[in-house]
Amino acid sequence: MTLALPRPAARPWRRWRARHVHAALLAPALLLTGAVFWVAMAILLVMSVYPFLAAGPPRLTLEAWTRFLGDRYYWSVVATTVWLGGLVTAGTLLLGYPAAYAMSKIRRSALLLAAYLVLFAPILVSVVVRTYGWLLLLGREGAVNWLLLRLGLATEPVPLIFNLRGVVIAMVHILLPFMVFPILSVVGQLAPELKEAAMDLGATRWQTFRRVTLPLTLPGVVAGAQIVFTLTVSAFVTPFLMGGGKVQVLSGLIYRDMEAVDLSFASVTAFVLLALAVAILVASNRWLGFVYARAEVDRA
Amino acid sequence: MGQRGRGADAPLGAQGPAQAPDVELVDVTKRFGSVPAVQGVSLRIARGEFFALLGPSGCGKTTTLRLIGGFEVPTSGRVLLQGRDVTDVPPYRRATNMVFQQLALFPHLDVFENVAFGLRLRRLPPAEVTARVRRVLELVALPGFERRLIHQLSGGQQQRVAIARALVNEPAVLLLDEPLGSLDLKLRQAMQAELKALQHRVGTTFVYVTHDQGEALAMADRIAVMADGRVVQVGTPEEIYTRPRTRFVATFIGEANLLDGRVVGSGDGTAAVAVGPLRVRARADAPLEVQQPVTVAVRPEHVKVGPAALACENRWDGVVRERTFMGSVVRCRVGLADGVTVMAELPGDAAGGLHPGTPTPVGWAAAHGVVLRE
Repeated sequence: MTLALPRPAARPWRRWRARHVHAALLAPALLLTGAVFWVAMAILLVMSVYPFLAAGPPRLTLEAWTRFLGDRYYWSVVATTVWLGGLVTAGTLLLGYPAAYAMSKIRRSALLLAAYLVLFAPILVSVVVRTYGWLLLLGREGAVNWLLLRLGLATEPVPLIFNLRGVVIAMVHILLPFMVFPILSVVGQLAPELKEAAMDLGATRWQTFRRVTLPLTLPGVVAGAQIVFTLTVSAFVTPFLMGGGKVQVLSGLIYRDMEAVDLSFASVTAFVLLALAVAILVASNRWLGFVYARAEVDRA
Repeated sequence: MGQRGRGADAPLGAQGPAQAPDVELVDVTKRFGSVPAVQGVSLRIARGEFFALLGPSGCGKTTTLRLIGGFEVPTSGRVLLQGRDVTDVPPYRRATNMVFQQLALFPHLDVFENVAFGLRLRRLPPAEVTARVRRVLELVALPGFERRLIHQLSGGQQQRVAIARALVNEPAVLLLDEPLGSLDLKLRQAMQAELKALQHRVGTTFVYVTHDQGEALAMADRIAVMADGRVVQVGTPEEIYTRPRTRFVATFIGEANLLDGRVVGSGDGTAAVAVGPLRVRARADAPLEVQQPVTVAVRPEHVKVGPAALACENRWDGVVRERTFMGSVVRCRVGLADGVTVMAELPGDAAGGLHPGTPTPVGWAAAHGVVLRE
């Protein structure tokens, strides 16, 4: 008993729409990043080689580039920036991985909500406010030093602000959610029977973590690390306030040169910062690919 | 990894200490909170046996398997493997390996590394790992698939990898949790035959969980039928099918006509039961009291219709009520007396001339009826 249903007339524009709808969906985001990012970068590039002088027409010069690349001081600033990025990434990872793992295990919805609030509420507060909070806590007369002295862990106040230590502490706190979120999303997708299968095949808890859980959550770890690192090396407010001028990073250089209306040098610094972030992103993606590829080679 | 209870060089199906059953559960109970999942289960599974745990979903069969594998710790009772008490031993120190229902293959590893996983943990020399992985992949008919990733395999191939990954460790007992559940019918039947042949070849004890009675009948040496966390009956497929002990077993494994009545006389392994106005003779394995309420179970294929019924001890005149053509067989619902109806399954050629309304003799041999007390 089959009825021959009349086929709807093929409408060419429908097919055209189906094929091109993704372009329409992408366009606004592409236009925005195209206008704001790529055009801005192009302007920066031009500014870095055509300094605006008080008199005379602009002329091409690589003076700002050679000044930056030829000076040890600026390389030390690059090193400080990378070192800060590394420390903050390591700190958020050490705190964030166990936290994300534990959160994926919470079944009681009230507990889970509480954990989310504790971990992610700081995002709702301005970075400036949070940084000032840390200044109060970590200062000479702050709560942390008071506690250290009372417990006899220190005989005199430990300098925790206006140095790299303070910047790292504050930034680990501020950026922790950006590490927890990507890890949480991959840990949550991990099928529990994979761990049971590993244990069934003779793996202890640690071996199960090392050989199954960690490799399968590595993409989340790398994603979190990339976000935290790029946010750290480009952060300005927290290094500026917590460092108190004693910790010089690339974003601080840009600020200084903007104030001094040395726009070509600020542009060069901005490019170095961008190159740094891109290099780390590419390197970490390569590393992830390498880790998976090595698993293939590591056998007789 | 010596505490895993098997030597690295032992051949497949190596003999351990003599006589002790490979798996023994002694009065095992498992509660999740206050919910009992397994209640007072005792089982002995002999070396080399293909043992099926059969029951509907929620009957506790998977929990029982997980208790053997060490994934659950019993609330009370003991679990023994090859005579050794392993009740509190974690899965990674048990001489069991499990094939999971969702297979649980490692998506970040290829076929070779999945299969080699257990061997690498035991730190076997690389050359031996390679040799053993090769051998087991040949055993499951997947040679040359070493470098494939799991998502590049079909369902049946993934199934084989899961079995190979467990078998390569040469477990004393292989635990299988509905491993064919996700496959389509044709593939499932092919894999059933393959698994059975594989078990025969390697000689490993298989404990196989399934809710599919056909699968259990076709594959198992012995079956434990479970319901509501308890083992209802243990026996060979023939015993379970021909001598079910309860109404549940009679209807869960195959189909059965259930006739409620009262005992009017018994002795010598048979009983007479009054079912309404009918007197039914049936097999009774245990002594019965007169007037005791019982149920007589008869398989539809044992109910004869037409001239074939004339030679049966139980024989009545009936009327065909319904006739359903099923392909190789024909099913007839036949009314006897006083609203008593039975379902009969006949070969196609024996059902000619039977139509709704046709009067016909109906009957079955006394040996084909079984008296059930619960």
